[in-house]
Amino acid sequence: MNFDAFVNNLQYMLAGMLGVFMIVGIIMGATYLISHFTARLGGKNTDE
Amino acid sequence: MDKLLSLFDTILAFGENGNWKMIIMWAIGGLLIYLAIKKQMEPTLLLPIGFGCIIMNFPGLLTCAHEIEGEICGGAWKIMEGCCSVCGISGAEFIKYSGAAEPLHTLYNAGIANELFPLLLFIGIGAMIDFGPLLNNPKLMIFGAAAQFGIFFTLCMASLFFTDDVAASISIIGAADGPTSIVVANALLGGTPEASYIGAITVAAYSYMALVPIIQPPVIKLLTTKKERMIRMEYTQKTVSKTTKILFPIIITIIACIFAPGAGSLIGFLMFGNLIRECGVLEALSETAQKVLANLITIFLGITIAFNMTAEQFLSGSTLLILALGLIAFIVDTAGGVLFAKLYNLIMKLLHQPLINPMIGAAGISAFPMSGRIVHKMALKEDPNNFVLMHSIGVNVSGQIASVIAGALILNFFG
Repeated sequence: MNFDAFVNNLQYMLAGMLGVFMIVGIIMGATYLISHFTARLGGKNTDE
Repeated sequence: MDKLLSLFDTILAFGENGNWKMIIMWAIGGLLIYLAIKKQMEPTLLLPIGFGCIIMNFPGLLTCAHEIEGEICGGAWKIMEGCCSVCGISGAEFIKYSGAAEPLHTLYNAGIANELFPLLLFIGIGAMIDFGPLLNNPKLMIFGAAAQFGIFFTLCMASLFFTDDVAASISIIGAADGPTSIVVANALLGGTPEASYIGAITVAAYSYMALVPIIQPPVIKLLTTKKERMIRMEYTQKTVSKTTKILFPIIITIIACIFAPGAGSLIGFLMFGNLIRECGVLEALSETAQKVLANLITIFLGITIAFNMTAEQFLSGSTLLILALGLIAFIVDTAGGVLFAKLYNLIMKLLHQPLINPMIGAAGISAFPMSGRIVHKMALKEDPNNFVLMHSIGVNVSGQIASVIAGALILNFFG
C-alpha cells in the first residue's frame, strides 16, 4: 500500500472540495442574480 | 456411457486450456442480464453491457490474429477443444490476439474513445431535467456540492492501491453519473496500458447507480435520528420566469467554462439539452433528445462499454478492489451530504432559522432522479404528511451539476 500517495492526494481532496464549493457558490450567486433581474424586468413570461 | 465420459473429458479440457475465465465472463454477462430483466436494475444499460460481455468473450465470433513468425494465424475457434484450430492458443489468449470483435471495436473508437456517446447522452439528460425546483430555491445547490466528498475521499483511498490516474478514474464512480465516469476514465486512461480498468469502472458506476435504493437508506438512517427524519420543510412556490429558465443553462455553461474548463463539454452538452427543453420553440427537438437520441445512444453505449470486458482485462483482483472502492465512494457521498445538512442545521439553530430535513443532503449524490425520490419516500415513511420531494429533487439536480464540476476538477488535477 502506497501511504505516500494517500498523503499526497489529501491536498487534492481539499482543493477539490473547495473548488466544487467555490464554483457552485458562483453558480448560486448567478442564479439569484438572474432571478432578481428577470423578476424586475416584469415576469411577463411566467410559466409557474 | 462412453459418450458421456467423452463429453466430460471435453468439458474438462475446455476448462484446462484456461477457458474457465471465459465461462466466468459469460456468467457475469448472464448475471447483468438477469439483474436488468428480473430486478429491473438500470435495464437500459445493464442489459446491453451484459450481452456485450458475452459477445466479447466468445471467440467463436472472431478469427485468431496471433502473430506466428511475422504472419497472422487466421485460425478459427474450435469450441469443443477450446482452442484455436491452427496455433492452438486458449480462449482468453485467442480474444486477446484477435483485437476484439470488429464492429464493437469500430463503435468503441467512434463513440467511447473520443467520448462522443456520453456527451450526446448528456443532451438527452439535459432535456429531461427540470431545474425549476432548484431555481425556486438556489441555496439547495450547496448540498449538491457537499455530496461530492465521496469522490475526493475515494481518490485518496484508491491511491493506496493504484497509480494516481487510475485512482482518479475510480474516484469518479462517486459522481453517480455514468457519462461523467466514462468521460473522465477515458480521458485519463484511454490509450494507456491501464485502459483495461475502464470496463470495471463503468460497470461499477452503473451498477451502484442501480443499487442507490439499497445503498442510501441504511447510511441515511445510521446518520440521522427519527426526529431529524421527521423535520418538515415549507415549500413556497415562487414564480420562475421563462427568461430565467432560458438564461440559466447559458450562464451556467459560461461559468463552468471559465472556472472549470474541463467541464466545458460535459456541462455544455447538458445545458444545451436543457436549453432545447426550456426555449419553448423546439418541442420536437426536445422530445427527440429526451427519447430517441437518449435511447439510441444508450443502446450503443451499453454494448460498446463491454469492449473492455474481456476475461483477460476484467478478471483480476483489481476489479474486485474497484467495485469495493466504488461502493465506498457512494457511501461517503451519501454520508457527506447528510452530515453537511446536519452542520447546516446546527448553524440555523444558532441563528433561530428554520431547519431542513437532513435527509435531503443525501440526494446531492446525483443519480437523478432516483436519489431524490428515495429521500422523499423515506420522509413519507416516517411521517405520511411530510412532503420533501421538491427539496430533494432540487438537491438532486444540483448534484448533477456538482458531480460534473467535480469530474472537471479531477481532469484538471490529473489530466
